[in-house]
Amino acid sequence: MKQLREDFSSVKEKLEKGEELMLIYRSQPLAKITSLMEEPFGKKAKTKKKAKKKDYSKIIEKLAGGFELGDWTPEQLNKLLDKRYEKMLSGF
Amino acid sequence: MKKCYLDSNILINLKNTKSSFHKKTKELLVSLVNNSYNLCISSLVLDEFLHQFQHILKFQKKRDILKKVLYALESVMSLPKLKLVNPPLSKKNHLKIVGYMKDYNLLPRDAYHFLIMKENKIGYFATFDKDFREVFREGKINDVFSVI
Repeated sequence: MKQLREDFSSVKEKLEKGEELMLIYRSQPLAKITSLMEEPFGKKAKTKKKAKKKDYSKIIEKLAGGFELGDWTPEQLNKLLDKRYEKMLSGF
Repeated sequence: MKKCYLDSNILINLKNTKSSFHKKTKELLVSLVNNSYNLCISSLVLDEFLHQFQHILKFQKKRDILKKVLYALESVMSLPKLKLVNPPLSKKNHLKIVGYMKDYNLLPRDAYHFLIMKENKIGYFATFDKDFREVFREGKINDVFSVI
């Protein structure tokens, strides 16, 4: 009871964490105090944050593809760029 | 937030369903974005992508080439967490390119990519190009395939 009167913030903090508190009056247990929230604050906040994390796989799947260009190796792709330089320098 | 520089071959393989690297590329990008990496490209990457893409379409005798190129570019630009990065503006920093060519046995173009990554503090590089072996071996930039 004394703690409730003098240090309500710590009582509130404990309740938010999901702790169950016993109210003692004149050295006798008088009542139980429990949070009305289904889940403790921290846990709920974490769950909410997790749900917010976006899965980008569908977006990338949608943006990928669209062309059937054959199977070009990285070396072949590089050669296309090299050819361009060779063409540019062929006048020298 | 971690940053990963994408080579033009990543973009080509992303768009080309017939590429044997298509699935791997898609999975890589999903993994990077879901793990909070920023995807970085420069105008040098875009220039290479546009050139290669246009050339392949011409080679395959496709119609409406520029329309197709624009469509492909739009989808690349719509990638989530994509950032455009610039080369350095300081004249002195451009002199580093020749040193990079020498130290890591790079072509001028690849040395330029390396400079852009260094100047933008990009720690990871996604490429199928084997020309960056020395850079990866020296640990100057991380091969993103080895960490994802």
